[in-house]
Amino acid sequence: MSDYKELEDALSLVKTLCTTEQIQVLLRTRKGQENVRITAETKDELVDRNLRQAVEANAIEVEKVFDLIRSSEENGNQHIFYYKPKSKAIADALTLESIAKQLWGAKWKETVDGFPAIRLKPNDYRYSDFRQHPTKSKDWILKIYGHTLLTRFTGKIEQRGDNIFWKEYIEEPLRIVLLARWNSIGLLEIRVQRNESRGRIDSWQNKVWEMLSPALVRRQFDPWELKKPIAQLITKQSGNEKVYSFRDVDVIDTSGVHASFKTYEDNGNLFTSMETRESIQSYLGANSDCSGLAVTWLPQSTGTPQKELRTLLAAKERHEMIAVAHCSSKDLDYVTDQLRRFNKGAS
Amino acid sequence: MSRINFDALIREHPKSKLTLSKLADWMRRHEDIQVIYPSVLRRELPDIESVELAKALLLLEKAGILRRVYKVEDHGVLADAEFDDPRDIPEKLPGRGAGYFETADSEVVSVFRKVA
Repeated sequence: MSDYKELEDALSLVKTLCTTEQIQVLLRTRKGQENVRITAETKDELVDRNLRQAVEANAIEVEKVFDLIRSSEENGNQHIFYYKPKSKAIADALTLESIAKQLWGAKWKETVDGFPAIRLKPNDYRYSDFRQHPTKSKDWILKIYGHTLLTRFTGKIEQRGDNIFWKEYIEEPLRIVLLARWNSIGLLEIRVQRNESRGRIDSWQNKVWEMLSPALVRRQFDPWELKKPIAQLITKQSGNEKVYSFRDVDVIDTSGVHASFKTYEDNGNLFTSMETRESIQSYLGANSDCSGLAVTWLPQSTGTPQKELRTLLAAKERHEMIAVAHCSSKDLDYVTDQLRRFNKGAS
Repeated sequence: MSRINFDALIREHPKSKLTLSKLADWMRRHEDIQVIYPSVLRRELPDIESVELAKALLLLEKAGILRRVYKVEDHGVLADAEFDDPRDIPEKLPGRGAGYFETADSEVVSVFRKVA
């Protein structure tokens, strides 16, 4: 488990990533115990005094702090690229132990027991975590932290003479969180955080593959394209109004003509318009290609999803989903399960 | 939606009685909606002039029934992000598609959240 110095980094991360409410929820799990204070004047005090004291007194396990970090940064506000292993033999080989041995050698257990590693390496990447899924014993999660400096124009321009001017740029650090999640039902997810640069997103995906090798390599997998789930989601929406709604979709007909359907409001429902519904179904019926489907998954009585969860399917790559906002791991797994269900043609 | 709030408002602003009454009915029929879009109201209450609707929404805001928040248009449709203060809008925002868009030349639109 992490040493004292890593705990400092972990608490600093909690301060950055987590809300006051999330931190207090954790403290309340040990309410009434010695060294556990729930309230504080400021968030800084809540973390630097309350949470630190509770952890140092072992009233709260440091693992719970790591869980708080995981829940804040591992699910949502991401691009998720789906892949399927090319054979059952490849899938069967993707056990946690097998992957760990290939990444870290014979002493892999020592390395894995030392995770999570919180501290960033300047201008570099490091393995941060590798663990079994908490409820699905054959699933695993690999997390990679990265750090880079981005150059940004501040907007300041100074005239320094005739025809000469200076523009001010600053370098700002960017913290990068990348994941590989193996679903033992046969689906690999490469998750990268959202960013304004598509180039960065692509390079981050490549970095995950690079850091997964030699345990597994890209050519062992095929992209799991979302074409069929998209078509099924559209076709079967009328029986599933309580499960999801749509907002946007792009179509390309067989002649190569592009059409886009979008609601004005960001919370709009495309199929409230009868003419839009009929148009899109007509495109589908004529074998047009649909992409960029914005699906809003509605809260369910089971509590999963907890709240509306918006996803964008195949906007850029056919096997890519964007989870627009942060969410819980259960909610994101729910969406993946639904996509698998609709891929099979479920009603 | 409390009838009392609207009745008091209508008494204070009799010139807006018709608009406030129609708005109150609409809000009662859509009790589960937490964010009210003026664009939706213009479609669903076409008999109310835009100016009267804007005045009524302002009255509801001043009465503490609604809270104004701001959204940005991404090539003619509203992006997901929401802001309490338009000065908090960054230079770039995630768009409705896969990428980001520059906000400098985008329209900023008011929408209204129900106050709990």
